[in-house]
Amino acid sequence: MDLNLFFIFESLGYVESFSLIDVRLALGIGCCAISGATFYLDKHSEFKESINLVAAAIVLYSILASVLWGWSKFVEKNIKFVGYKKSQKLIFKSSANKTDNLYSYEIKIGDNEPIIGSIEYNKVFNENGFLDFEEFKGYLTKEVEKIDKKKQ
Amino acid sequence: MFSITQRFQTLSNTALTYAIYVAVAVVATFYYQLYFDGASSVPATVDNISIKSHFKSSRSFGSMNKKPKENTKLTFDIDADLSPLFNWNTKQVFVYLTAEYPGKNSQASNKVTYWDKIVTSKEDANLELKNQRSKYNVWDVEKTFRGREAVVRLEWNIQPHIGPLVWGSTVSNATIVYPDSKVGGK
Amino acid sequence: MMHPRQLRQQIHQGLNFGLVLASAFMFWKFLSVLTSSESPVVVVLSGSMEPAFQRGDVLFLYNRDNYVDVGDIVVYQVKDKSIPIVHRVMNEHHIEYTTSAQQQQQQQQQAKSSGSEYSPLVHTSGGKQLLLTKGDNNPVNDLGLYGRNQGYLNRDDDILGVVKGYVPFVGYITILITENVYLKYAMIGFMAISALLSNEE
Repeated sequence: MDLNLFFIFESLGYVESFSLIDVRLALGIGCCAISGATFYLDKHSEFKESINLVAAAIVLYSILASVLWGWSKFVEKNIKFVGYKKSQKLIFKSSANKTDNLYSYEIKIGDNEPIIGSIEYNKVFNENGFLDFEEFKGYLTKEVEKIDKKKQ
Repeated sequence: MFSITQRFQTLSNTALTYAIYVAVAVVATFYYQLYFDGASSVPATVDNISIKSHFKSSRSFGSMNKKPKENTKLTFDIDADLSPLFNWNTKQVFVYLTAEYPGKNSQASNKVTYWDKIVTSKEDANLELKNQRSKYNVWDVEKTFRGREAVVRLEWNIQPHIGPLVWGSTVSNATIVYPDSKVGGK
Repeated sequence: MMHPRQLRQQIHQGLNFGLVLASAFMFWKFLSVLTSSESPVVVVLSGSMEPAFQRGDVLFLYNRDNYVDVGDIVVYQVKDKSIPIVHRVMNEHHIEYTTSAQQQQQQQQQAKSSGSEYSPLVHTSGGKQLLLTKGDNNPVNDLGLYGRNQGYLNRDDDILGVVKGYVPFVGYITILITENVYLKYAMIGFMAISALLSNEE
């Protein structure tokens, strides 16, 4: 379901901004880079000589990995989409609760009050289990309009 | 929804956590059991030790340069009861007779093994050996033993079914003095 | 040029896979540094330590002890020989190099006269230990396994670590994988398929 957000919001005029995601990817690439460098170091030197460097690399890696984990868990949390329309910022968060079959979301545009709502899965999925795109899009468009109206 | 890598990751994470719990439990109970059974002071006596010494010149007797090297053998009595070392986790006990003696100066030390045995069950744990001959020819880093004094101990090592290996020494304590043989003697 | 969101999607998936490998490797290195041993976990390959260890048992090594004791089980690798061997220490001879009191005084005087704040270490500045090993299940000691003019193992150079604990059988699967060609290909095939399949979200 989250995959389609992009298309929906773009049609409403919001251009996606990837800064949150990019930071996470950069952290991840950094971790892999440290790991790769350690591997290279390991292959090209004696164990006793490199042990201190390897220890330093391990510490660096752990720090970076914890930052990555923290970023993903606390900064990004449930944010699934961030977009800009003429300097207005839209943040879309969503989460799916396994127990009550609901897709919960929160839409926040600019400095306005966020709208918190939820959609029951069976309202937007048809019998064959496929997402009814138009239905879903309609839902979210209505929500966005609600906020726009409030602004005015 | 979940890729295979994600599933594998969660699976291995839970498996690892459980493994750690089990490991801690095994180690704790094993050590406690040994302590409770009195493994820190296994009763044993080693006495009636006699030393024989010969000079050999081949590599298999420790001589790297074809020059004569003093080889020693012991004959001894052992009386030991190793049963405190046997519990649910004991796979076998490796028991060995060592002699520890000083080296060229106060910072040098040596320790050698004359005899060892593998005990696999509690029933065989009671050792009563008379006039037992040592299994190995023992040589020193130096050419001769120079009449030094050595402390002879009976030590043990438990190989568990799973978990940490445990080492210890029985209460036995005997002292021997090596003969002061000159190089070239028989 | 791919759509920016799709590009990130691909990177994200590749990263997931890469991070799994990276974290596994870094954990292994962490154990290695912790135990100061090149290979902190080894699998028993031969039967020379039976009945204590069988092929397939997994051993945990520790290498930070300065001196190894008689009776300890060590993993060693003779220079220029490729297989590490797990055997027990029979004999050990060691010497500690310490600076005598006289030498210490000399060092301190030298330091003062050169105007440096350096105060030399007081005690042990190294040591050397020679070991003779033997497999429990072998009738003779390991002299035949050492180098041509080598009468002893050197604790610092030849020893990879001391065995502190073990888990039975678990390592047998690695023996099977390296020795059984079919299993090897099966594993590779399995990994390839799972990598392809993991492209689903």
